[in-house]
Amino acid sequence: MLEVKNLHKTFGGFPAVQGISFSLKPGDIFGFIGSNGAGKTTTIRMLATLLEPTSGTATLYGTDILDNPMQIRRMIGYMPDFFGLYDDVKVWEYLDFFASIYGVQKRDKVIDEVLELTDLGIKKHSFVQSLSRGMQQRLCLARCLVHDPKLLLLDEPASGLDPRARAELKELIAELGRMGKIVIVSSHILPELSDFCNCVGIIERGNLLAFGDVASVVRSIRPTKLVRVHCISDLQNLTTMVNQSSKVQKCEKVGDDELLIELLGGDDDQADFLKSMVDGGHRILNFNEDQANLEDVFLKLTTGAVN
Amino acid sequence: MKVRQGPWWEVLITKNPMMAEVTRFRKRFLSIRGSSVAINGGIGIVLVLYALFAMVCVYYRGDIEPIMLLGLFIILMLLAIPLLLHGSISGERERRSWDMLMVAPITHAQIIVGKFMGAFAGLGMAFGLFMIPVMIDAAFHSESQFVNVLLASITVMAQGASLIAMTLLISARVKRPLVALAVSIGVVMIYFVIVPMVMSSASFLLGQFLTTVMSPFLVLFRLTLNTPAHENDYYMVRNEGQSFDVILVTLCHIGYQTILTICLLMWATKTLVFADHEVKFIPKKKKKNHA
Repeated sequence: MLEVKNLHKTFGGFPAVQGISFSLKPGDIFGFIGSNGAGKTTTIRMLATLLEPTSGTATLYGTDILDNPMQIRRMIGYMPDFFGLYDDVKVWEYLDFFASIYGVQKRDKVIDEVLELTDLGIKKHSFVQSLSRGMQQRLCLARCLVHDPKLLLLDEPASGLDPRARAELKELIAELGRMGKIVIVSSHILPELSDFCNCVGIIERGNLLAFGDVASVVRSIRPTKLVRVHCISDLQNLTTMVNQSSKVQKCEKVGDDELLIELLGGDDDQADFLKSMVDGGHRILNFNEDQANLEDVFLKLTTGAVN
Repeated sequence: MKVRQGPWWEVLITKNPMMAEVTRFRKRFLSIRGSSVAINGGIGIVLVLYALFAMVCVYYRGDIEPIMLLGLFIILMLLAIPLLLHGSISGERERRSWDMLMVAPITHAQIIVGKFMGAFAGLGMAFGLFMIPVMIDAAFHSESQFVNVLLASITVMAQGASLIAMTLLISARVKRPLVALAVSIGVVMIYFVIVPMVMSSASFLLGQFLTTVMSPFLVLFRLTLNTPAHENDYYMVRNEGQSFDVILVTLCHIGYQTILTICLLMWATKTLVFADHEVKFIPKKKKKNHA
């Protein structure tokens, strides 16, 4: 269990993080969203015990990051946004070095396991500098995993990766969540985050504007359902009928034969509404909900201001 | 942010996970199977030079003052240590691998001692190889006293230790490896060229004892002359009025270098604290406005 309590960080009088609080449970994959300079990296670095919070704190399974940072470091795996590897060593030597620092027992076995998990087994004896960017990202993730951490802090893990490497990384992160680890991922690639994160937080100028599971965060910005109706019969009649419905908040004509309708209520109301249109003799070619996504939420909640 | 888990020697030496640096240093600089062409080429050149040096020592065995050969090793150290170690911390910062160490469950002192021991073990290995032809020469040298050779060897290693500590400190205090290299060479120049010149010109005030204690070259020179055959040498006669025990001077020098090494390492450990706060978002001008 990770509990972040009113975390503040000020640099020379300038507030970079202003009272962030949230909590995550094992298996949670938390997408941390924000513009550049919003405070994501500062928050992650505080959780990684690299920066001391100005005030507030966080606890991981009851251990406070301020009171016992060494204990915390044993429980976290941190992957920075920009990182370098020791390029003069081989893949297994790199992992062995960090495994020895973390005091891992049976290092050979553990290294083989994390290499298999990150699909780098074939590169075990290659020099680190010979790896592609995507492989280096995976190696960095493997390094984070050698000591079996409970919390993974991944700062922009997908930056600079090609689509295939991104897909592989996404699958790997989802697998880590299934293994019961708490994963915090910061990213700009919002559609991808919504694919594998079960909760998200949106940060701007050091303030957490929204936090929760993806569906609830999306609902928070759009309580109504937005439905797009493609009708091949008389659109005027349909518009009149739709406007008379108590469930419709707003109806707007889009193009020659389409309506964009804001509906109140849940899924049942949506189904009833479709049935009433068909029963009214209207020929509906297409009826689909225009679902809000994280990008809409992000654009609606944030102003683009940065620290 | 420091947790001590036992006696200092366990925390810093016997149970220090950063001792893995010893292996890393050896693989990086003392192995020809590494990935770096530059380092492999450098090792190749050094091996050729070493072979030549060994041949000269064996051919002229008994004719070359073995202790003076150790002066050659000090000169090599003055060049090699800053060259090899300037990036040990600043280089990690530059290539962004430093954060990985900082989030590991180890103290700053463990990091510094680990890096120091890695370099010192490498130095010891190089010195051991260097000493093979020197010892062959010493065995045949009629005036050699092995106590003097032993003391000279410890003097060289003590000097090497303080040089490593100094380079680590500079590497910890600056952000860019090239700056660290320039500063290290500058400090070496000041300490081994300018300071001896100043001290030698002021030796009438400071005395021969202090001047000698400060300089490893003078210590080696004194040890070379510390044989019955050199009793009537010009240098010994000239300093007759200020004669002192060479063994004592050497031990004082070793003690001085050891204390200097410990102080520099402690300073480097304290210096690492600023790396915790190295993320700076606000330029100085803006900072002033906010203040």
